[in-house]
Amino acid sequence: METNRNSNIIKLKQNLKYRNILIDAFPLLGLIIIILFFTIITSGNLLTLNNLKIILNQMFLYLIGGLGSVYLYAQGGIDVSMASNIGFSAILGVRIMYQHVGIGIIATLLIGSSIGLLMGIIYAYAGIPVFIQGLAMDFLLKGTLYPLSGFKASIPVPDRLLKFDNKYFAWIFLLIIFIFIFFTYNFSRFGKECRSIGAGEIASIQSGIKVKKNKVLAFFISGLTCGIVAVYTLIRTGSASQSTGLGFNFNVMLSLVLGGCVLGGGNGVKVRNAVIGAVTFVVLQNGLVLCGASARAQDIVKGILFVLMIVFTSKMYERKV
Amino acid sequence: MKKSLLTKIVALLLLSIMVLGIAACGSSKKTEDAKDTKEEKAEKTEKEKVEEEKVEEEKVEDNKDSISEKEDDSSNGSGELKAFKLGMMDPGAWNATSGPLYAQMELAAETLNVELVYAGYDTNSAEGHIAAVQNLISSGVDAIILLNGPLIHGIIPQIAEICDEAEVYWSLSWTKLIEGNNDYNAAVNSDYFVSTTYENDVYSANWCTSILGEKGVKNIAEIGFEAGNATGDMRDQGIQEGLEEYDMILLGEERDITLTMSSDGGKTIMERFINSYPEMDGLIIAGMSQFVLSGVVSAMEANGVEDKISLSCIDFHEFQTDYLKSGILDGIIGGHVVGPFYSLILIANIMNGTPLTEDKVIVEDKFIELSSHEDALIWDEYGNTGNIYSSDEIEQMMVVNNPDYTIDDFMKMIEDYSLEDIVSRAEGN
Repeated sequence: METNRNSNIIKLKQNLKYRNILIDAFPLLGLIIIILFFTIITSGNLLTLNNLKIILNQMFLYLIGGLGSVYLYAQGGIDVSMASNIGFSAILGVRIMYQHVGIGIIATLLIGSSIGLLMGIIYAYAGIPVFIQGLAMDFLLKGTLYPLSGFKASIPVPDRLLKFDNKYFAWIFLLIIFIFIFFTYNFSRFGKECRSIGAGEIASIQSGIKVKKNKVLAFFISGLTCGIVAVYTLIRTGSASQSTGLGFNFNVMLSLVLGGCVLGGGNGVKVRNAVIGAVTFVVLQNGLVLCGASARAQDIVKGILFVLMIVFTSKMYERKV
Repeated sequence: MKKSLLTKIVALLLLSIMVLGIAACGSSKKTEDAKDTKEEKAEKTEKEKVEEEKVEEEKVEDNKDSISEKEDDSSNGSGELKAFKLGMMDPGAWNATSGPLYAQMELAAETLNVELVYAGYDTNSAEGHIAAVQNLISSGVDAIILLNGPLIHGIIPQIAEICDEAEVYWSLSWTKLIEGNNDYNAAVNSDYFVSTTYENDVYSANWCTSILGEKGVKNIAEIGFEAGNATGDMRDQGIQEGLEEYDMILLGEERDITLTMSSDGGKTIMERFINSYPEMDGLIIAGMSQFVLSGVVSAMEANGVEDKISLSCIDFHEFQTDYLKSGILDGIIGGHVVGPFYSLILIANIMNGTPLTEDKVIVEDKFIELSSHEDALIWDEYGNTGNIYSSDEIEQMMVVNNPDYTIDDFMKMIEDYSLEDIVSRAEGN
């Protein structure tokens, strides 16, 4: 009797283990299916060397954005002012770059992270709902973009900045960021506390976690990410305008969702969500154009996939033990 | 329960693979063609290109000879058109402005043996444009037509570089290039840049102001583009000139994009204007009327001010015919939807080895002005049905079909574009 009970428990544990592995692997399976689908439907055009380069190039920004946002998403937060932060940092940064390119780059990073810091302080200490605060900051920054750009549609970057357009350097830089975020998110006290806040803020406070400090730091990192994205966008597009970074926050959110990120925060947010999500998002965009889908069909496919992904991730996460 | 979940996942995977298989079978020919085209392009050597050019020249000469020998055939468009793939930015949801553009482009594509591929750019950002261009090139297009000029100012040098590297022809629409600036220099120095068409925004806004000015309107409000938008800036200039000419006052303006892109927003804006400016006797919608006009009209009717406030707009709306008939709308200017079509004609001639010109074409895309119910009915008949230029006319714009067709004919066609021109051509005059 006792032996039977023990064997049942072992079996149950094993099944739970397999189920959890499957749940964790679901976004990756989704990505594999999408890659397979577009590879077949485009007769292999998706995987040509040239197209792979394009995919890598296009996912760079979403990877940076996703990686820099994991702490905030883990806390159950979101920064909807990312787009205007990028635009603001880029326009102000490019003006400084005309004096000195190096100082301009550093200034762009500082501007982005300062806005993030300010957002974090307001969020943590004023207690404003994160979405409302983001919207308010978004309006505020957006309103300044036009005067900052000298009432021009766009400002070209100094030629010297374009010399930084080195893809190898960019990918090495990304790799360093990935390693740093992977270890700090998974193994540092800060990363664990972020997940704990997302799982239950009151319980975190009661267990002695400095919630406010963590919130400020998460926004600071998100802001710094905006600075990095602003610099790379300037290098890639050769100009700064009011449309710089437009929609970036939503694309990052969508790519994280496609990567299996649970929007409620907590343990459901992983570093791999950012990586898988960025690849899925870009492959989807690229593949739909490659297979000649009409613009309407592209929107419908994307809409269906996003809804499916949100439903699956939330439902499966609920079942995970 | 665990087993049930596993079963569901496996079933889903199997279903996906089955759908994959069916979809792949259905589209294999098309994608194989695309792949072939791409591979052919990659393998093309300089020598082959020279030989190809010679063959094309001979082909044109042959065509000329055969056409002169058989005049009847030439008038019917006997030339064989080379198939090619054209990438285009998605003009957006079907409405009175983008609808005729879709219709004309699709008719032209069908007539000229062109496969149209659309790229939907999600964010309208500079980065989104570059990604869309790269994706189109990757899909094997031979040429690209870009839309929404104001949003791509500043990234034209990057687009030029990408297209030149991929040896893909490219054109711009609704984009004014200012001589001497980076965008202009990048375009005219690109080996593969073909053309840009742009509308005269100062003129369109000035026309709207003059419609109100002629009616004796003195106190107006404006619904316009967000600050910093190049198109919006030029339209503001046109309105300003009109205000001075007719001694009018601009009481207020609304540029909030969260309001100016929807009918509900239009209603909210108009209600605010009516309450804030009792002396207002005119309103100009300086763009995006396709979104806001019905809301504005609804607010005017609800407040009983349709006889007091005069209204003029830029960009066509699907109910404009009714509004002009009822008198609530005094004038609407739009119909500047044929720019991409002009670019397609230039590109198609290049692809067939008979370019209309070696120069870069920078040309103004004319507006259609509607100030009466009769005008609107004419536009409904020709513009909204995609018959601004008929299939027969399109065939005759190809040198392969019509060796006498020159760049001067092409430029005159653009210059002549008006409501009268559309009617005249349709009636065969």
